[in-house]
Amino acid sequence: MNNETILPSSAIQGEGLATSVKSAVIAGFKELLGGIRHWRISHLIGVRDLRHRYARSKLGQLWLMLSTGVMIGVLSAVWSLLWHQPIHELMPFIGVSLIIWNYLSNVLIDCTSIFIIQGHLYRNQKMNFSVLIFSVIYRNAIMLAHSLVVIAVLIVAFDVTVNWYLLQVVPALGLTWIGMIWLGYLIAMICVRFRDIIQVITTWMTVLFYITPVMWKPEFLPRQYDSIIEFNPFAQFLEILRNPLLGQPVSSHAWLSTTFIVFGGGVIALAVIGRYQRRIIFWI
Amino acid sequence: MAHIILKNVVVDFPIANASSHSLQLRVFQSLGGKLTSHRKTVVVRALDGVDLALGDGDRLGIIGHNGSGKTTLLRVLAGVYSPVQGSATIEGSISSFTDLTLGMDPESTGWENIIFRCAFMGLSFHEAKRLSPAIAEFSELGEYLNLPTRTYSAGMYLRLAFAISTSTQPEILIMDEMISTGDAQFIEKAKRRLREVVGKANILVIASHTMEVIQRICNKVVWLERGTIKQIGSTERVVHAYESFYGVATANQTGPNGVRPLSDDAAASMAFDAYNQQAL
Repeated sequence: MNNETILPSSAIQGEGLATSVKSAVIAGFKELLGGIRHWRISHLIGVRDLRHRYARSKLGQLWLMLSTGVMIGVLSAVWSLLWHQPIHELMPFIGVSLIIWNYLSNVLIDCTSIFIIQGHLYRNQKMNFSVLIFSVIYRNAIMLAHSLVVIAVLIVAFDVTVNWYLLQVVPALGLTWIGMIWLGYLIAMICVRFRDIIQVITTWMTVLFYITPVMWKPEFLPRQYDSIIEFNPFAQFLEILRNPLLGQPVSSHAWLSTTFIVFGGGVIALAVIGRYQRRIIFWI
Repeated sequence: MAHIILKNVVVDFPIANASSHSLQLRVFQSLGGKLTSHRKTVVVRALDGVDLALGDGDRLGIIGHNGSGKTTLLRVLAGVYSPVQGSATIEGSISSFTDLTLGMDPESTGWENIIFRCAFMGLSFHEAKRLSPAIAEFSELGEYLNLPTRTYSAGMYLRLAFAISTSTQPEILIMDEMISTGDAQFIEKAKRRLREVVGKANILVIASHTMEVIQRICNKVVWLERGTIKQIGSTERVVHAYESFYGVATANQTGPNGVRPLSDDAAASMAFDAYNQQAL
């Protein structure tokens, strides 16, 4: 099962930058692959967390749907009154956007503390830390799946057009998940080393919530501020996930920028992960 | 075939107090404030230049005072800590009996916990289900397995953990003190099971304060002192040197009231108490 020589990360240095970066990227990739091999543990931790949250509650997971449903209803009602927008247009938009946003932001916020909370699992047994990242993504995906019911209700109730654009949700989710794996790992790793970053990220997610078109439509924004959306990666990810669900096309800018972020950023992240993953246990 | 080779292994622990974790200090440091006097992170060197080679049939005992690096060495062997210098090559499936309850969950039932613990031990769900009846029988928990394990007594919880952990045969077995659990009748059964698992393992590594345990099981002993190997060699020689160094009576001598210093069972119950605390 185990068959490897564990060398200190410092041993990688001194062979020239290019080779050391390359070997770090490979090490990072192996670390993520290793986590996939332990998928059973990711599955068990993910499901267990969910069950703990709704243990001994009568409605259980139904709360996932109810709470998002209530939130969407109230928000859309107030917003449509304030801005004189027709509720049948605003509500599906806010509903779908909010559900997607919650997924993105919950994954990243959960990642900030996951190594600290579950670190005890690593003190006596060798296991890939990516297992925990996968468990976070997985648990939140289950919660997202519950919210799909709300999305379906919105689509039917407000007669949203369903067309072939819907299929684009598949590559969009794929891209998002790949991005989440490395970004989540990176965040978890930095947060376990520098505990202040947890607060920094939590605060930033709130800020991002307001400057990302979740509760307002992109066209509400005066033209000269368009860069807020164009250079906001969250707005781009939101677009590739939301538009297909609302029967609208995704701009090529959104596809290109998200693909570039996911794969370009991924390589850098792999190098960082590969370089420092063996130190994580000492930071917990 | 299993083997372990450590070459000049060094393990450092960064002191993870508030200041080194905090970004504030980093910022102050980069601003060149007064705090720059501690620019480097403080580290504790837990292991320093440890060389070790083990192959099939080796039974290694690790002895030394508290804080001498026994647990750190066990964790290096388990692959938990990687050395900052030197290298560690470990080949073979590893089972660590340092935390028998690893992966178990008080909110879930006994049956579910069997699956949980097995998954953490690297088994597939299919294998776990196949082993479940045998584990259930060994644990003697019967109907209790349908209840959440938080309702168990500490002893019952451990009995289950022990039954699961010893249900597979690893090539490399790592133990921190001899383990044992349960009431008198279960202890006998547990001992038999443990003897079997220990006997069949290709390599055994055990850290213990009890010389009797070491003398009974091990054919090699490492004596650690402040993270370095003070002596390594045959059990007899190293234990003798250790005991005469600290002026301890040899294991077979009797104490003041004709009581033997520390029996196997005493060690077992010590270990048991330690696990009780972990379980709670």
